[in-house]
Amino acid sequence: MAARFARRAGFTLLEILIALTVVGLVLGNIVMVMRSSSDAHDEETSRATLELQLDQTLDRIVLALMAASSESLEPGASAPAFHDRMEYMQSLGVNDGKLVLGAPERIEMRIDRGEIVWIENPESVGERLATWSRWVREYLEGEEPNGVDDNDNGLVDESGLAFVLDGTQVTVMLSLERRESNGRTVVYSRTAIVHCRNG
Amino acid sequence: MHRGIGRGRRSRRGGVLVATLVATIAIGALSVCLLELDSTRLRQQVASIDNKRAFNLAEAGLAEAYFSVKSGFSGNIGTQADPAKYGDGLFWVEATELGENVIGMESTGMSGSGRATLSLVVKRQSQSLASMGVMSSQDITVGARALVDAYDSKGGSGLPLIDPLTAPPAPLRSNGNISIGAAGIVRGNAVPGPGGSVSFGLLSIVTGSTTPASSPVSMVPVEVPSFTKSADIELSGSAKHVIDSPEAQVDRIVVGTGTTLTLRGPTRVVVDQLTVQGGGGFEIDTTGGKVELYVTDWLNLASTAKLGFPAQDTAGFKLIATATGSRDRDGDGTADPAVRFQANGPFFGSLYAPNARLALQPACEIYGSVAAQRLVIADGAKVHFDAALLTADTAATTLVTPLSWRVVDIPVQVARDLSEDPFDVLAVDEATLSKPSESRVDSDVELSIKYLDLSLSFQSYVGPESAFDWSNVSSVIGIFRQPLP
Repeated sequence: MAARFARRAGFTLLEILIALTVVGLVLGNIVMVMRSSSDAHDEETSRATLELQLDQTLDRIVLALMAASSESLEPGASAPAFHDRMEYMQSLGVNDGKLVLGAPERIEMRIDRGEIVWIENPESVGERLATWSRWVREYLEGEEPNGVDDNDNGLVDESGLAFVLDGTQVTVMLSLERRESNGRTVVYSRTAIVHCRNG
Repeated sequence: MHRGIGRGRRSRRGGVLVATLVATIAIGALSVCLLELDSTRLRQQVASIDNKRAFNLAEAGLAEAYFSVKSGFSGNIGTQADPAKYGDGLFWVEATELGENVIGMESTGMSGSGRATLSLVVKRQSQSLASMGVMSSQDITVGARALVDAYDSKGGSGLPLIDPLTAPPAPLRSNGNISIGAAGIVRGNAVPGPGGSVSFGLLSIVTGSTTPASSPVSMVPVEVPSFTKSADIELSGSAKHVIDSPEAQVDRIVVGTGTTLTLRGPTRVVVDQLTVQGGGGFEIDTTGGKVELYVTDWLNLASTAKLGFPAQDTAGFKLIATATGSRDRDGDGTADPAVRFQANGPFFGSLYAPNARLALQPACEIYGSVAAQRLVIADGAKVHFDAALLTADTAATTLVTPLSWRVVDIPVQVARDLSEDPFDVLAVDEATLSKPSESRVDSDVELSIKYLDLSLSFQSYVGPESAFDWSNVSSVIGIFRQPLP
């Protein structure tokens, strides 16, 4: 009995090697699956965040311009010229039958930081500034700085945020770009057409 | 030995379970974190969609309210306690009269956890020809010794005795400048357009305001009706011709010297070219009903044309000349203006030439209203605006002009609770809520309507819409709604 217990008290080297190999294979597979899942999740999260940011930023710009007076839009050059900033004044209501406008506001692209900023009372004492978005592309999706209309939208070398004014209508084009951890770049773009509701 | 080995094996019992548990907990925690991240992102996306839906609902509310105001209602659609149901959400609109026909409307839309409140301020304007008063969309010239004043016929007819002390102020308005010649008189306001001015000749008088308007006045749009065309009418010799059918359309009417054309109401006549030559008679008989005359290409009344108005009823006649531009219209090689109104003597009714220059002759005397693209009141001519026309025109339409649109703060009670069921938040039963079109708070409006009944007789009605029998209407000629007095 004692000899039998003594023989069964440990594992042979072969058993241990086999066990370690099997455990290694299982763990390796688990790690690979988890890593690929995590990468896919990160990628999806990154894309969703970028898309959400794009939607929210464009919605804010649209809402701001919708409540603006078309006569207050600056710069006021008509299509096909584009601008990477737009200054405007929003309605505060009506007094004595006349439209009352608020303080000047500006939406502009700051390419050095890849940001879109909103500024109230720009370049004056009461200036206030808020960042509305990051990850703005230098040029709109499909556009290269080559003096040619690469993306076939009638504009040449347009910036990642481009305003095109046509009467009381403003076309807003926006491209966001984000580099993922795996080195790939994700780009989302959207265009919105806004009619200024106040004249 | 046996015992020792047994103790060792017992001490290792559950080791695998513990390791498995640790691994499971670690993986579970990781999964929960990822799930939480995902659900946060999902919540953000859902909130973004809900907010857009709420915004669209608020916009729908404003659209419904705008249409409601245009139809003569107050603009109130539902209430917070009893909102209108639309799609998966709800909205209500609170309208406030801000004075001088300006109405402020605030529309709140709710969908899921989304909330939005939008404000629209509009101006309601009656679009009758008379509402423009004595008006020009460009400059107005009031000649020397010319007179512009007003009176109120109060539904009566005949030549009025105008008492300057009790008469209403004349509404002389221009979208450009107003020039008043020597000894010219305006008993009332002479209001130039934005940035415009009034220039006075020697001894000229304006008894009221000359402050420029803050915004230009829009000319009332005209919709020329279309009827079955009849043959041209050319009267010669001593012919007399009467048009008394309810509707008539002719390319060309020429009333020669010694002849007479009578338009007998109720009738609506459309003519491309109307010429009344010198010595020709043109009579408007409104004793049996109103007369509307549309001239689309050329209105040519010679200086000795004889105008006749047996009823002398200012509300009974509208002469609308939509013609525009100068060109050779009679083939004599010289350009003819779209409107040549050289007739002298009294004219009773509304005279409207929105696209042409209208020059009134020295002996011309207008009772009623007159508006043109460019208005020249010659030396000695007289224009007496009849204030009774402002309420007499049942064919007027309502023009609702937006003044301001903006996003405003959500009502506090609504903003406090952002839970996902807006019906719960307002404590209303979704099943009992009405559709937007059935949610107007006003129960009735005052209806002014001019129509043909089933026997094609001309009829008119002014009173509560709830008391009007629509089943007797064959076709509507003109309709106007306004809040009940």
